[in-house]
Amino acid sequence: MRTAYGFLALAVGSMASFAHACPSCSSPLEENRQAFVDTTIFLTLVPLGMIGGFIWWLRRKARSLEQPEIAVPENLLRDLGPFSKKP
Amino acid sequence: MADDALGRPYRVPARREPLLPNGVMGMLIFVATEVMFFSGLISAFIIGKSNAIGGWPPPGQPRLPIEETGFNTVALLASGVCLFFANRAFKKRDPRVKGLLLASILLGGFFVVFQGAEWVALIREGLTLTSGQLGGFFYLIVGTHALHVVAGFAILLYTYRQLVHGELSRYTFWPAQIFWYFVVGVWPLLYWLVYL
Repeated sequence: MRTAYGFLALAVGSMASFAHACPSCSSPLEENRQAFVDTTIFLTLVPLGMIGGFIWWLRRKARSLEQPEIAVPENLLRDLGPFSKKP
Repeated sequence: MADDALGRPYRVPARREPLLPNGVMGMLIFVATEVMFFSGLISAFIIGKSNAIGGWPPPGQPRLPIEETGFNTVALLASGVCLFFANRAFKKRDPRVKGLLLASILLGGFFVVFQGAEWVALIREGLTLTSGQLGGFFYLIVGTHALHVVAGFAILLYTYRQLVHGELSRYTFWPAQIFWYFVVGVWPLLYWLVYL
């Protein structure tokens, strides 16, 4: 029975023909085929460029925000009330 | 002098601002989807153009007004420049910010009105959405951009209203600028592809 199913699957598989789902892939016009390739590259690179650019910009901004903490002069810390540290 | 238990001096932590405000993040995500949307339209146009038999623009179709739209393009770019300087004035609390923002809005409005007049002329010449590939792509791409210009125009009007009432924060102004820069930035590419 398994062998029969195997032969059936093989027979169905051999019936499949070339799918013309993409009108540009089988176009006789060279310019059209080239346009298809160009737009595929374009649509691939645009999101990658956007994501890469965003990460680069975010890192640059994060670095610019990394400011050193402000040190308070010691003479100001001495007389801030009963909870301040005294020498 | 070491003041805390670990021997470090007392320090006052600097006040930190958010790395990316929510409004800006939301607008960036929105603009990214818009970039992909326009990329899809541009790709479809390039494929359609390369598939056209008899050359492009197709014979027997009205010619697109290149010079007039070139002038309109300059107006839109000037609007973006005005917004850039308005932002600089806003940061410095310069009173010229109102004039610059208003100039940006008026130039954006001029672009929309001019485009409308151009469309009326083209429809009279016989270029419609169903008259052929040129008309279909033209009204789809340029019309979609025009819708974005109208939306950006409304956003800039809102920011201007907030500015006049003294309620405009940079967290509102920043996303509005991102959207307008997108609208201004994508237009020269569309002009070059569709008109030239």
